[in-house]
Order: sequence, then structure tokens, then C-alpha cells
Amino acid sequence: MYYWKCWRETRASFYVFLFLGVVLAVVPWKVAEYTVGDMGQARSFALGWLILLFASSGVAPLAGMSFGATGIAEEFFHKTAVFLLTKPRSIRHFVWTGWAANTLQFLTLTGAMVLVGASLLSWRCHVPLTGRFLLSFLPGIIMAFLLSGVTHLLGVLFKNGRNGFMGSLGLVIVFPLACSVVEYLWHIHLLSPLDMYPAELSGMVRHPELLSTLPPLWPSVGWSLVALACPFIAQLVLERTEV
Amino acid sequence: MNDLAICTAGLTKTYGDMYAVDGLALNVPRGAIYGFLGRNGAGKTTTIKMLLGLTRPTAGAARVFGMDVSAERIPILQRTAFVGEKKTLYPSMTATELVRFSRGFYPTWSDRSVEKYARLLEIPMKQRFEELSNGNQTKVWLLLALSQGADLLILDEPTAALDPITVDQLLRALTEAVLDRECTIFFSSHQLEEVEKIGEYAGILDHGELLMESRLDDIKSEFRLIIAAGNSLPTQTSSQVLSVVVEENFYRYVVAKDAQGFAAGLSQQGASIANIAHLSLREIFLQLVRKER
Repeated sequence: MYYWKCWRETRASFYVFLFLGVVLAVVPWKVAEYTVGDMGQARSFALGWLILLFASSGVAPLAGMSFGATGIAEEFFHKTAVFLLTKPRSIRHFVWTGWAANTLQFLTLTGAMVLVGASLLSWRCHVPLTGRFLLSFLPGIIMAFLLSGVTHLLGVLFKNGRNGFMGSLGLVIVFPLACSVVEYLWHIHLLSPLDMYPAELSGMVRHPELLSTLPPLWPSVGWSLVALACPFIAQLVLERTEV
Repeated sequence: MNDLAICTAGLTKTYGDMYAVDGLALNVPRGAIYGFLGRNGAGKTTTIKMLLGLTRPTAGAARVFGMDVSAERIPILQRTAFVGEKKTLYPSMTATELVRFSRGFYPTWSDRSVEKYARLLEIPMKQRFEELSNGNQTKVWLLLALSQGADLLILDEPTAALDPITVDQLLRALTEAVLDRECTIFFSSHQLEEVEKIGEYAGILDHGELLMESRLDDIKSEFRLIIAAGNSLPTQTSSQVLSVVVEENFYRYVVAKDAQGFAAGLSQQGASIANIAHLSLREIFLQLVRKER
């Protein structure tokens, strides 16, 4: 019931993001078409792969933020919380059902994007796809989880999904800048979700063999836990909220 | 306790220094239609929110079907249908979609009731909620509540924004629901005529305090307004004397029982009894609430 309601609310943006994702997934293939003559198949594949990685790391988190702005926070904003919360289900049910609906959508999006993009690249450059290659998309997915969770949490705190989205967007802009400033001025490395991406990323076009580098384990585990903590905190906040 | 659908004891809710509900002791029998009366801001909605677990009491206890509202929210909600004060539902959904959304939450849901009340209340089922008139929006929420197959209907000003014909249809539907399914109806209102028409019990709330709770039949047979003239007559309220208003040498008593005995007692204290009158619910409401001002 509530899952259906969440899907109903986000399906229009889901189709827009799906269209955008599939269109962007074709770009690496077209780039490979132009560069394969000059760069060779392996380097062309690596360039296309990086473009696909970059595009999916943008689309999935943006979709995550967009979907995270819906759900129970919007029930407060639209004053429908009284109606929803007098249904015989726990707050936990509503929070995690909304989370599951959002998660399934951006996983489907990323999956479709990667499937289309990687298959076209692999076919054009004659490079077989391996599990290690595909694992390079993991940081983008975790980032989507994280931003969806943060947006959801901020939405609950503000009791307004749109404000949650704006807050989350602010964090996306300000946090990396703050990390860079702190590192530059005081040589202190703040933990950042960008740590999930392998440091070898920039050299992958020149050294395509680096494509099989796995994302660092602990940052991925750590930020996954933070991503999961967000809906949990939202649940705790809502359980203490009076309607 | 088992005969009560709703029972509260010392139920209190404060917001800062302000008492929204103050030591409320409600007793709503199972199978009854109970009118919960009060002016705007009397504390009716806050009480209802506490009964539904939407707001936590500051002190006291509340039980619905013997279950504690703080600890057993979900079992209570499985048996309770609710219509809120602000009739806001999902704006982009049609009534049919709202039925689809609500149906899955309740094993006792009745599609036959949906058809019946949609026809009775003339609800446009295919129109988006935001496009409906205020009256039709209220009807949609009522349709959802009545189709739920609940044992208890809690309705917060259900007839606000409804035209007189629809109010009449609704009141008949509520009475039928009680007769068909032996459910309890607890509805807040300031429409005294509605309570008098279908209610069996009434409670009057003002400034968070319950001023009176009684069967309507008892009100008709027992409650009296006694106007007495005299000096230094008693001004204390009790379970017998619900209110006393003093205007110069005239004392106006609302007496809940044994009015003749009370009047005789006043005469013994030197009072001359000007009048002993029957009281309607409206008159009791006005007497009690005006006195509180």
C-alpha cells in the first residue's frame, strides 16, 4: 500500500531519470567510436568507461536525492501525516518502505545505465566485461544511497522534502569544498565520500589495466553504514515527533 | 472497564504553561454514540490525537478497548477509523485510488460499504481529491472511515463543510453503522443539534476540562436549571451541582440530579425559588461554558 503510494509519487521522475541515464549511457560508446582509431581499443574502452562511471556517479545520486525528498517528510509538509499515521502500521514501516521504494528505483536506474553503457562499450571495443570492472560502479551506488538517506533525514528534520533536497544539495556543494580548504590550509584529510573512488582513477586512460582496480574497502563500508544510519535516525526522530 | 470503548483518567496535555487538556476523565461505553462537545480550542482535537497515539499525554492514562494508547497504538488503530479535523488527503489521488491505498491496511475492509456510501453520499470517485469541493473532500474521508469495518469511529468535526442534506445522510449512515456492526462512535462537534439527534451520551469540554458527561436521556429527565433569589447561597459545584452563576441576588444553578431536593435545601437557607426549568443540551452547554468564561 505505502510502497505503491511511494512509487506513484516518484514514477514520473523515475522515467525521466531512466531516459536521461540511458541517453547518457550511449555517450561513451559514441566517444569510443571517434577515439578508437587514434587511441586503440583498450584506451578507448578505458576512456568510455570513465565517462560512464562519471555519468552514473552523477545521475544515480541525483536520482537518490530526488527520490529521498519524497516519502514521509512530504506527509508533514502536505499535512497528510495525520491520515497516514492513523493507519495501523509503525513509523518504522513507513520510513523503511519509503527507503526501499527509493532504493529499488535508483538501483534499477543505475543498473539500466550500466547495462546499456557497458554492453555497448564492450561490444565496440571488444573488451570482455568482468566483475571487477563492474565493481567500479559501487562508489556511485553507495553515494546514491548516502545522498538519498541524507535528503530523507533532512526532509524529516525540516518536515519538508524540498527543503531536505536543498539542504542535501548544499552539502554536496559545500562539503567537498570544505574538505579541500581544510586539507590545503591545515593538511588535515577529512573523511569524504570521494574516498570511495580509487586513487588510480585519473591514470586509467593511459594505463587501462588499472580499470580492474577495486574501490577501497573501508571507505565503502563506512559510508554504506552512514547511508543506512540516515533512515534509522529519521525513524528515531519521527518516533519522537508529535503530529 | 471492559464495557468501555474509551476510558481516560487524569489525561493531561500541556504545551509549555498552557493546559490543552487538564485531568480528563472520559468514559465512552461500547456501542454508544458519544458527542464530544466544546468550543473551538477547548481541547477536543488534542484529546483525539492522544487517543490515536499521535500526541503523547503529559500525564494520566488513556485506554481504547482496554489497551493503553501509548503502548498499544497499532492494535488500537487496527480497530479504529478516524476522520480528522483538517480533511486533507493525497491531493493527486482520486477517491478510487484512496480506497485502493487504504484497503490493504485493514483486513475488515468492505468494498460493499465503499459502493454503498459512494452512492449514498454521491461521491465523484474518479475525480482527483484536490479538485473536489470541501464537502466532497470530507465525504471521501468519511467513506474511507465507514468502509474500514472498524469497531470504533473517531470523528473530529465530521460534518464541517457539509450541506444539511448530506449531514442528514451522514447521521443516518452513522446510526446504521452502530446498529449493523455494534461499533462505537465518538465524534467531536460544536453542532449541538447533531449530538441531540443521534447521540446517546455527551461530554462537554472547555479549556481542557470536562465540565459534564452524561446520557442524553438523563439530561432530559434529571437536569434542571434552578433560579433562586437570596443572599449568601452556596456557590460550590459538585457532582450534583454542575455550575453556579451569581448575578446580584440571583443564583442560577445547573443541577444534574434531585433538583427538587436541592431547591428545598435552598429554601431552608432563606432563598426564594424563582424557577425550576428543564434544560436542553444547548442550554446546558451555554450555561456551563458561559460560566467558565
